[in-house]
Amino acid sequence: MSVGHPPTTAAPAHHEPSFLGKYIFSTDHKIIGMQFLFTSIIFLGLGGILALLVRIQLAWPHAEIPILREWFVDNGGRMTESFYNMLFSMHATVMIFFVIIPFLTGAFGNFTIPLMIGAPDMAFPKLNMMSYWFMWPAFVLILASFYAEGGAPAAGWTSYPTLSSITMPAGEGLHSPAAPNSGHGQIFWLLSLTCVGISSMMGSVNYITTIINMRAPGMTLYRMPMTIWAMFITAILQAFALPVLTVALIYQSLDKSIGTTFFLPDGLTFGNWSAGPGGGQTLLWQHLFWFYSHPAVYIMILPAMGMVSDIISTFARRPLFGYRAMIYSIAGIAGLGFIVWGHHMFQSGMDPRLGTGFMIATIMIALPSAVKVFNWLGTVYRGDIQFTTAMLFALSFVALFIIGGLSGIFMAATPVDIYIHDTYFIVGHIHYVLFTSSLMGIFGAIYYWFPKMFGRFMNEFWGKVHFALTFVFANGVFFPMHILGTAGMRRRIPDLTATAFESPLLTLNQVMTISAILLGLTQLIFLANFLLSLFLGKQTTERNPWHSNTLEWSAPTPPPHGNFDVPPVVYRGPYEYGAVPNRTEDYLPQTLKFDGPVPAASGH
Amino acid sequence: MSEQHHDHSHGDHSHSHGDHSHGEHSHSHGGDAHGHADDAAAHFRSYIAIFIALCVFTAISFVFNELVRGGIISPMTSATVIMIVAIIKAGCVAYIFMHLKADWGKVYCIMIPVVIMCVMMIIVFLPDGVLGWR
Amino acid sequence: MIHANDEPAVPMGLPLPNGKLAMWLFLVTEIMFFTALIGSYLIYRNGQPTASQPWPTPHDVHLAEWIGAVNTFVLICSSLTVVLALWSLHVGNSKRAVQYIGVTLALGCVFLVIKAYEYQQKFAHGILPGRVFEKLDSPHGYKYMRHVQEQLEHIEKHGGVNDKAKKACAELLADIRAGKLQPKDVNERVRGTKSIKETNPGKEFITTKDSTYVDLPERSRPKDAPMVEGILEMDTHAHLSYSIPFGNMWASCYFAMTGFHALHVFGGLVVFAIMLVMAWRGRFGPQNAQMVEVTGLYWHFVDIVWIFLFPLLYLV
Ligand code: HEM
Ligand SMILES: [Cu+2]
Repeated sequence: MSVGHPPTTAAPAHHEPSFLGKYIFSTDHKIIGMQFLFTSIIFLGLGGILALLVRIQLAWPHAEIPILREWFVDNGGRMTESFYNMLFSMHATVMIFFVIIPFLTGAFGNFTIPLMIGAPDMAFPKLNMMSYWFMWPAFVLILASFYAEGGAPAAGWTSYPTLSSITMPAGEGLHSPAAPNSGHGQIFWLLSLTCVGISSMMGSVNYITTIINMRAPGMTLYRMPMTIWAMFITAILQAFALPVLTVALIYQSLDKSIGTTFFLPDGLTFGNWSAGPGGGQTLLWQHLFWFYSHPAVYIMILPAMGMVSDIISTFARRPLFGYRAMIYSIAGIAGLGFIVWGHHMFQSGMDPRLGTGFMIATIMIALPSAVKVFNWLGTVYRGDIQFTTAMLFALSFVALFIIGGLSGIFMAATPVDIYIHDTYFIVGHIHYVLFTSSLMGIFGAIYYWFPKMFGRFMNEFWGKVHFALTFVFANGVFFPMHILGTAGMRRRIPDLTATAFESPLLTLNQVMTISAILLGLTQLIFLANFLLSLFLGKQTTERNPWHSNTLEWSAPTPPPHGNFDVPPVVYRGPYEYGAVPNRTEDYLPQTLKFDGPVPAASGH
Repeated sequence: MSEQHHDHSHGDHSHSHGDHSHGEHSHSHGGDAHGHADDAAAHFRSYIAIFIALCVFTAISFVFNELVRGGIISPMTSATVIMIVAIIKAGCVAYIFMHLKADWGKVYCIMIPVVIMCVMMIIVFLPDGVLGWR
Repeated sequence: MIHANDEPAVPMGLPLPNGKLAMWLFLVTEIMFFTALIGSYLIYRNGQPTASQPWPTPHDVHLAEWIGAVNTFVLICSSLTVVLALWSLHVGNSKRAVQYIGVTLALGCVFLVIKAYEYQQKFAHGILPGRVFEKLDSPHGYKYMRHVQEQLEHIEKHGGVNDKAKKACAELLADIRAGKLQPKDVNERVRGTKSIKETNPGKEFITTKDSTYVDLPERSRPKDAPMVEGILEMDTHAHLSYSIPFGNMWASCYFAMTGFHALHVFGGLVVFAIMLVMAWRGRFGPQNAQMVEVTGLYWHFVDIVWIFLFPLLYLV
């Protein structure tokens, strides 16, 4: 462990490490961030393919699947229902634990934190490297679970026992009588998530230490950009919540492997077979799981909110409206986020008194969320808006987050949730907050920081095409989900034609599936733009192409090892945009010494 | 956190008073006694005292447990005493051995939330996990 | 456009070295981890068990309080030595510090050895998750009976109990072989009516009609039902299994909690061993004060965890 305050003023190192040391076993936070970035993009593709298969089954139940026909020869070329279960379970797992979280905290957390606080690197570069390499066992295990005996896990990403954790008595292998896929595959899933958890915990300790102790001179807490505030609070959320998930994962793996019954109740039987001695509590898994996973949904949105705040302020050329209020509302969301987990369990047989408490707390979260939305609107109001691709994505984040947040409040009310729990309404909510908010925020951030990361611009025209099509098709897939949910379409059901009340919903599902396929194809535009721009994009000529105030733009492009050629000193908050007397530019970088009135006077 | 100061960056000279935290930047952890023999002896004595207290407390909880077996006190009383003793012991270790006495001002903003969180978590689990079975 | 730095470079942040800050943050995650373990233990323990089906007492599961107390003492001593090691470094006595670290390492090893002994006892008595006999209705009961029969056959062959118990064992084995007994009868003859009634007050232990050894609560128990002296009452060392309600859950919690604690102890020992190696190579001195302090923080935390585990598992 390093001792004391490492000098924040380290000169860029000049030794050139080998390729392996530079790109593979790198301790440089920017490289590690890019490693996270690339692996997340790969997993985004995988998760997307799984999602499309889910959609195909829903729109044309049991139709022969064109390319994958050989997988299902036994079933006449049609998808089996357990395969469908596996698809949606793995889709959610991959998207949540291998795409959104690594994108936000892994890729952007790593890239932005040291640069935006003016530090040469993370507090513990080696730990940082470990936190990426701990993802690899997770990658391998989650991919291996597809090939496990019995197939990949199929009990949903929430893996509720008893569905997920019953195993056969000794001698009959690890097949679950409840769900055939919940055997080996489920164990891989548990171990994989444990590795993800360890990786995130290392990351979070590192991030908090870095943000507290490694800031450049003058960078007081209330001069930090929103991105950093969001990363900071996200890291705290992770530190508090992840260990609890780890315990739950370990308990479930013990249940499955050595015959404990932590989550298996008394007298559980399946056919003529009864499970172990019992004595466990199924609800406890749900409590432990959601104690992590509700804060986790904020882990999946707060960093995006932070980055979007910075993007919006930059391109609206206006100071962020209500900087302090933004910080307090993030903190409020995080704090409240720890006492609302029960809203996922309203229908689980939970104690109704608890349900009421959780309902009230959940509805209260709307307040800080609304503060944020209004502040974003206040920021763009009368702004001199530059509609870059990044800004378009950021604006659509704000717009669509409102839909997701509002549907959340619907479900937060127990009486309403009784009706819409486990319907497509929930699925609509999830995708409005996770796809159209978090992922759109991530796209915006990629377009925004790409020039700093790689020294080239992404193509703006194709970026805008990507944005427009994504916006249209995403709404095309996800908005009808609300309608379907209120019409009674259950989630995780493979065949709509099986019930009379769901059969009429098939047409709308087909529209959604077509939209989903187009949405998937649209992402190919992004992929091509991203990959081609890495090598052929327009080169950046200046350090600060967006005329932004934050510290990373004062570093050379791309930032060398050690980040800054001139050790930064911070004079004010990050949001001084707009006209200033005695100054021709409409922005004031944090590192620029300037005597005179400033527009926002944030950081005072 | 120690720098919520108001630091108007209008003038060149206005920063130097901004950070009042680095004045005490001499890494003064509670345990060290840079050369002050008295200090060192005092620390030593406090460690030994805490050690003895911990041993005594352990003995107390052991004895109370035996008293229950002898039927002298009720299991509830002894359980309460034993748990209070455990909390006091943990407090002693944290306060003196872990130097919270000196470092509390620097770590309280993370320790208080975690304690609240732990207590809250267990309390919220109780209705389903315990009362539900009654 | 970047202005030169004409300000004094004042470091921001807390007056805490990175290592120490990170250790405190790590401890926060550890606190949450052990709270989840302990919290779920509290729930298992206070939730389903009832007055007639209580949570096992330490005695039921062959757990000796004094062993736990000794281990507590060992860890407290090691906490003291670690803090004294740091103290010695601060007063400039590196050699003494190394000795203290050596003692800490030794104490940690003692703790683990005692723990291993305890685990070995659990293995010997079959107090393992999924292996404890709880319910005695079919088919679990017949499994239990077969198991006791094997144990009795083992005793018949190899002995290992006193004479009185040996005779009772022979009788029990004969009765089992003759098919005269229900599983509950076997359990009662192994443990004895008195013990069963003590640990399971009001327990409705026997439900079979044709059993002679009825062990219903006092009011429904036939007056003439004999009190049976159990083999384990004759000889506590006999290796015979009996039914322990919630014994599996107890074993699961016990191994999970003490197991993770022991892993943490082991982790600390590795660091102490590294320090000793450094000292042996002559690379240990006042410059390592922070390393000792940070490791010490961790070690004290491990101690605190045990301070809670000891009463929760052994006493209360
Ligand atoms: C305004 C704030 C929000 C409120 C009031 C809210 C409320 C809820 C409620 C009540 C449910 C449970 C519905 C049910 O299962 O019956 C739910 C589910 C869910 N929410 Fe939110 N939510 C909010 C924001 C978010 C955000 C920001 C995210 C993620 C970035 C998110 C992600 C999810 C997910 C993934 C689920 C589904 C979990 C599952 O698979 O069952 N929510 N939300
Ligand atoms: Cu939630």
